[in-house]
Amino acid sequence: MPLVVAATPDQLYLNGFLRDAQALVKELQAKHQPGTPIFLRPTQGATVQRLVDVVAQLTQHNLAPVVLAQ
Amino acid sequence: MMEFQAFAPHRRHRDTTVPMINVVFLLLVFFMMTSQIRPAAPVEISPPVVELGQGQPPGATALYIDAKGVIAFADLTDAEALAAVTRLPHDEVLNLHVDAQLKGYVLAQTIAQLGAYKLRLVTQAAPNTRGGQ
Repeated sequence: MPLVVAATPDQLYLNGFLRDAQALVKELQAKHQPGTPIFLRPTQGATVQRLVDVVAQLTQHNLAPVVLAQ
Repeated sequence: MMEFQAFAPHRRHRDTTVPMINVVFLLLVFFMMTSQIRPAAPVEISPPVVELGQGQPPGATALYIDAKGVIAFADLTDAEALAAVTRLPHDEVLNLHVDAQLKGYVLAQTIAQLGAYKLRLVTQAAPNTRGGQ
């Protein structure tokens, strides 16, 4: 199952379920297979700055690659 | 009674102004020869800020998207700009200069329209860090 992170201006969802930033990272670390992409989907008007912040947060925890999805 | 002042031979003062002007002109010529004038962005953007960076990406083809979603490439905008970019070779590296306040879905749509290119999102370092990209 692909890992899809949806970013709103102030919230994060993993595969449709609301997660805070720490829980999201922990869950991704548990589920993510190295080399497989994590899809990042901007929703509800999330700005590019918000996306960059999320990507920075994920890559800090070696969660990569992050792919921007529509 | 007569007072005599100690004999002090008159020393000629060398004029130091001319060598200084020479040096200033040499520096001016040096910087004119070695500097590159960066072309102005066709649209006004404020790039997103990141805490950690890897330095500015090297020069590549630049595509600009401002906060309202206006796409600019060279002197073209919107559909014409996209059409011009898609005519570039697909091994071309595209630097995306995107405004931080642009809606993320607009960026995703634009990237989807571009097709297969190696894209780099240009960011700026946060003021409290020094790094770059």
